[in-house]
Amino acid sequence: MKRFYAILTLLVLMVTISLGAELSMIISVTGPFQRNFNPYFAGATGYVAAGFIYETLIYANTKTGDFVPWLASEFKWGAGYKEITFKLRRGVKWSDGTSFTADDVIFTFETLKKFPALDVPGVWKGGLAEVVKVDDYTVKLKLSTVNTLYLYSVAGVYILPKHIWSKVEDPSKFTNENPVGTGAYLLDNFSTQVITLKKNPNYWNAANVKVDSIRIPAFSGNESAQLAVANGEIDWAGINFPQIEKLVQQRKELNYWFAEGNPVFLFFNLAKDPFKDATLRKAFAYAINTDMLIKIGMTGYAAPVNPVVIKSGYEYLISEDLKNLWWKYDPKTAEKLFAQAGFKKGKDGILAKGNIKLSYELLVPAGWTDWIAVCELLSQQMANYGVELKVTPIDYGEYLQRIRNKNFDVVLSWSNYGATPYNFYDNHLNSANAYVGSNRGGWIDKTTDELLAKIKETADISARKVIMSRLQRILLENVPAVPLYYNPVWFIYSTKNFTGWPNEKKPYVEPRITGMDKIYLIMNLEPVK
Amino acid sequence: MRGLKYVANRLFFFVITLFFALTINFVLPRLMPGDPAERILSRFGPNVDEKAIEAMRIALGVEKDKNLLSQFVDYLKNTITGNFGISYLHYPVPVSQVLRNSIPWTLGLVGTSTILSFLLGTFLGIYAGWNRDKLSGSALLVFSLSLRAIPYFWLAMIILYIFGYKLGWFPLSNAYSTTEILTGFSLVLSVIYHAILPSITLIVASLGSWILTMRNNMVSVLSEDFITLAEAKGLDERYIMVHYAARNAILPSITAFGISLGFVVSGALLTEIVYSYPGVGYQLYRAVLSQDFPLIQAIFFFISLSVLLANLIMDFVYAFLDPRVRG
Repeated sequence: MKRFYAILTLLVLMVTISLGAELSMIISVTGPFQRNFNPYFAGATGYVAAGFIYETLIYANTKTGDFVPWLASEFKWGAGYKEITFKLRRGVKWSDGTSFTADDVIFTFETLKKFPALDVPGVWKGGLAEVVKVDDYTVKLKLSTVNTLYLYSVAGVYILPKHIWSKVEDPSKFTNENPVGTGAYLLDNFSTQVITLKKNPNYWNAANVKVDSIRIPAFSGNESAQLAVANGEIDWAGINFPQIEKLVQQRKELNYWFAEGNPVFLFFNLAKDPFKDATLRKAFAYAINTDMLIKIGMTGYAAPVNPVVIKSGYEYLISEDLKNLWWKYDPKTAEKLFAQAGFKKGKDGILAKGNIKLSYELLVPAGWTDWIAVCELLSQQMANYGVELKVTPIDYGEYLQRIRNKNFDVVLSWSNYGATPYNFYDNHLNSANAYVGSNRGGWIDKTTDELLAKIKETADISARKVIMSRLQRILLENVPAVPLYYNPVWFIYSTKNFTGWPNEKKPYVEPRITGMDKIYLIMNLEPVK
Repeated sequence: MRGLKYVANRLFFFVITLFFALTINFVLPRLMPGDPAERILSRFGPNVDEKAIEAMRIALGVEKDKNLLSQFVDYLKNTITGNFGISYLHYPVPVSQVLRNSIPWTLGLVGTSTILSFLLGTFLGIYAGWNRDKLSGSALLVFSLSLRAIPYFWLAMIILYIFGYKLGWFPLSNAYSTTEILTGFSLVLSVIYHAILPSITLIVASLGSWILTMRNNMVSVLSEDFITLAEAKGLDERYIMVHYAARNAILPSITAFGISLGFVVSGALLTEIVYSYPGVGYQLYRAVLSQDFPLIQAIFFFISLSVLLANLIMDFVYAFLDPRVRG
């Protein structure tokens, strides 16, 4: 028995001695890893592949709005925004020693065309006509339509090694167990419980990578992941942590920054009466106290959103002359607007107009506790005006299905922001995305669609500003949905082993673990000596 | 002859029940709303891109195009040949690989804990039944009743918080060390070390039932005439307790034990979640949440198979132990 303890102590000691600058991170809390390093499939190991092992031609930094040259050293628009020429970086090697050339890029795009299941970034759906090899280090993408936002799709294409993937029968069913990439890291060790990566010594940008190895343990739930964070075992965790303020007071090396994620809205089904009436929707916008939703429902972890849903960093797109149309929490105005829309309180205290009563189910995904809390508050707030919202948490699958089938009245949901406000407006307002995409309430309007198409036809800032201003007017006058807050991007970091993390003072990157952002972030880290 | 008829009868029921189980297994997941592509991506909450959902739908190949009957025939064929297809949730990883990664852990942890819990519970139950009029027996009865009343999820959390986090005696999660790469003997040690807390949780959670079952059987056997006779014969107390009472009282416990062994394959969901243990229970839970039909079906197939097999074996063992059953 004594001996057993001795060995145990030894084990514990060994744990505390680590070699080189090792960073430990939580990529997901979805249980044991399965060996799959195909960068085109979402999931824990797919995320490891996307960014750490495989790379894109360009990196779109959504926080700063910049395009950072990556596997392509330069890119240029041509032919009136109908083609993009990429000059590829020379001297880049795949991790098996083969040279990276234009053939790999062509092969990757062709594979996405042949296997639409892999076209997650939507490069072919987005209007790509053909991929042309100019020479070994130059590739031209020809588009069938003008789309100045097209680069954001290209930024999601992880370049695959032709000499390996061309031998794969069906890349969309390929688990790629021994990944060969151009990225900064190599797969060092895989088990279902932990993945370790080591720095690629031949990486084209090796000088800028100061993290020698990365350790990614598997967690099956928030509880065990949170304990590991509280125990100081993790340098980077993209997880929610209740009462994080208390924890960071106890542990000085832990910090958090919950950046603006996707915006969350109260969506109305615009195909139904009475929600076709903009006055009524505007009444809701004035009636809701969003500060309270953020403070109590989201426990202060969400960021406030302005009526035109333009994120910080893009303030120059805000149309100042429309600010007189911005709404704010104002019960008096709300009551006036409800009356203006023709609603009066009935005997039961609920607003009604003819046979329409403002009493609806408010749908929210079951199990999303913070969102359910927000719904409860919304319901309380609206009850003061005589609007009855019955909070109805439903199974996530059913939730999306009901939105898709227009089988709802009001719902708490989100729109994907995308890389820039332009992408957001397109996601949120384009009739192509009605009900099935981020345009969940079904805003269908010809003028809006034309304006959105125009944004894609120009890259000129001043021209875009004019269009954006007109779109903002549409938003403000029609209130297709009421924006409530930005859902947080969960990000907890420890300065024990590394410094240089992004935070609200230095927001140089969105700390997301899903794609290229994470390698960009890691290149900014310095080991603590 | 009679014995043969009994065996044939049992086997026939086994096959029929298995077929029903397989049918239910096929129908249930298909009654769920929503579509798998959306559910698979649901774990990313409000960070899902519709394009990703669209790509996922194409990847999964929309099953709705095939009629249910041909799907059912395919399903039966694949089940019999052991081809479970590609998991939706872990796409493009094959189901067999997911099972290979999780079943051994579950068998090890839950199997060991079930056996230990049964042995310990049975011994304590014999003791409690024998001493039913003494303080020690009553104390054991109260103890096992309260064990059964403890919410098991909460217990797992408390054990983890105290012994793992506060005192730091045991690791917080995973099946073996994630901070270094171990092999051979040190890996075995690490696995045992990591299994201690989850195993204690499982034992504590089921111990009460074993004690109670055994105790109650003991009490009813002890009121039988042959025990009085044995006492009158002046046999040794201990001898009567073991050879006369316990031997007869253990039969129902054996049946229950067989059935729990059958359920071992289904894993221990809550323990696996709390301790991040890589077992089948957690995979099943995730599979159900994401409508991962191929994975759900494979896991249910193994659960039904092992439970039915355990029942079948227990029927035979019982017939062997208890001549009254053979009739």
